[in-house]
Amino acid sequence: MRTIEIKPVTRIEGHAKITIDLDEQGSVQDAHFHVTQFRGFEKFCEGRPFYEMPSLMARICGICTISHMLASAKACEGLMAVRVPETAINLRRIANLAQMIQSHALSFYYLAAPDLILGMDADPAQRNIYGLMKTNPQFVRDGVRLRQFGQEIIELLAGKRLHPLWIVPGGVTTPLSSEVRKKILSSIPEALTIIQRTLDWYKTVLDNYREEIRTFATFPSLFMGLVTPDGELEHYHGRLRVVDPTGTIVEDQIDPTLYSNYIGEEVLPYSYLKAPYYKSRGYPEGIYRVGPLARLNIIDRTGTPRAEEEWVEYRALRRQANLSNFHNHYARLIEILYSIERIEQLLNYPDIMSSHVRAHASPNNNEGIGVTEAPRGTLIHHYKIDDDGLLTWANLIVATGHNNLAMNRGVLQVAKHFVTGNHLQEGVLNRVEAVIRTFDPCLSCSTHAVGQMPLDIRLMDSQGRVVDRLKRD
Amino acid sequence: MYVRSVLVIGYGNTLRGDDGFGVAAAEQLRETSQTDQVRVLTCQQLTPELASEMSKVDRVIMIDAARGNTPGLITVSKVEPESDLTTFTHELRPSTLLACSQGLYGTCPETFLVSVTGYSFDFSDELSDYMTGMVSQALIRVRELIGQEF
Repeated sequence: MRTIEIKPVTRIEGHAKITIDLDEQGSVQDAHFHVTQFRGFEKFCEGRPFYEMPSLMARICGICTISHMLASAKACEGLMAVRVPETAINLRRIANLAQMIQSHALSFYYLAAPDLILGMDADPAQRNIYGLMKTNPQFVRDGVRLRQFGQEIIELLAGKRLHPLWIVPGGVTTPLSSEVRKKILSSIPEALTIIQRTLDWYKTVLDNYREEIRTFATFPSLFMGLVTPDGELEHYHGRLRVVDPTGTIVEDQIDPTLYSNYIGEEVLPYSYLKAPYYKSRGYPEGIYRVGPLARLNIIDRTGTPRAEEEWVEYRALRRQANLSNFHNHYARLIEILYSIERIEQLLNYPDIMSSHVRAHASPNNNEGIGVTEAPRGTLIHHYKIDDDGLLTWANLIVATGHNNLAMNRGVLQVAKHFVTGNHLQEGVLNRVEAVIRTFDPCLSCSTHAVGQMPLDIRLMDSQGRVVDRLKRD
Repeated sequence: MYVRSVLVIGYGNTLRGDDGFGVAAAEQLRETSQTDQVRVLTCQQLTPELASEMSKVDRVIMIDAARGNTPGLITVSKVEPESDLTTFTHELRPSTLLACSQGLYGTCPETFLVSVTGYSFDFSDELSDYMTGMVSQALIRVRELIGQEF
């Protein structure tokens, strides 16, 4: 067997690499997406007081800080058996949706758009956000403004944009002021105009990407995420739903705290990232996807008027579940629209400025589970504590983990399309990079490079000799 | 009379000792010198969104820590716009950010970088004693730049 190895070496080396295995005939046999970075949050939090967890776990990620804080706080609230005030829940929802907007805007405008607008095979020196500034400055300004919109809401609510200490077990530390409410509301029309402009443009160019839609991780799988009791889009509470490739619901209204009855976790010998699977289908047949594509596949309706119109049009692309990961881009735009509308709805709730935003309690349970929807998909925090409130065990399942099997499948699909015999086609670099980006995996910065992702692909024969190589620094 | 506006951006990683110098200095400045004309921002690193903030002012002053053999050395340099196409969203350089302001918003504010060589970049959420004492020295230079004629 021969092996092609692709090493994305970005800001911190060794986060992830890709190997493509060839058989003796030179045909692609398998592909693996490796995460070689070890972080160990599940272990080094052991022994710490449970109430430290939200701020400690927030450090897992600089993009999804709010999601980790929320899932962690909810797990802590399971330990405390406390009832969080409704206003605190709604303020947390606003912060989570603001994070959804800024994260999705980063993914679409900064990272994916250069490929979409300038072309997959454009000169990497120009295929980045700076190249876009020259050709499409208004588009980039729109992306910058949406990022700011999300970041400003988080800062206004929580005191700072990154790693705020506002979300605590039992609620939030400060209520919403009239001034902040007015300020956020005043910026909503501009945000709506921007996202509608982008959606309208994207729909006009969607047909240009037929090849990518057909080949970018397009395969049957299950899809999972949270929904409301009415089957609407849900990013904070809700129940888990699983649908199959035909769009048929196979599990519904699962209590998220019972996740381990439905999700198994396989440890892979080649990666630090575990591979969750849907237990009823076994490993690896229980492959499922989470994130924007999955969320828009599992719902019955969105729950806000303008996003609903867009979602109906989006779902018309395919009567069954949408199987192409390329449509994550489209789904992100619809979720941005939904998030803006939903923030406005929440800000108009009569009790949104109530001062009762935090409940207090000591631990009453030795086990707690918190589940939310992060931008990249379902996020699970599960803690156990001793009688002194010190953590004895933690299990985290993050969106990139849920998508692990699907990412492997996506890379395999591209490799089969672009790798033949002893020769590596130049296009394989860009396509592998672009397919990974559709998942927007959270491996710190390994796929968050602007423009080109440094790659090293080696084609090895069965004696370990390099017969071809493509390298990009 | 036309009132000039100044934006001060202090940046760095506050969990890596003296790398948080820019943030510490900017926070101290905010307590004493923030006015309608002088706005102070702090952040972990420079990101493209800051280009929008920069485009709205007449002068930008950035405060950052630097590595080097002479801890406490204060360097003030004028920043010129320069498109660096190889950098990442997470760590833009001042010159790239200025180019973003120019390219996206058509404005290129006069921009200075006040860079102070740190002593220790080990894991710590506090500045080293030596660099704590340097905050007031750096702010003297920053205030000079704020008050400097355009």
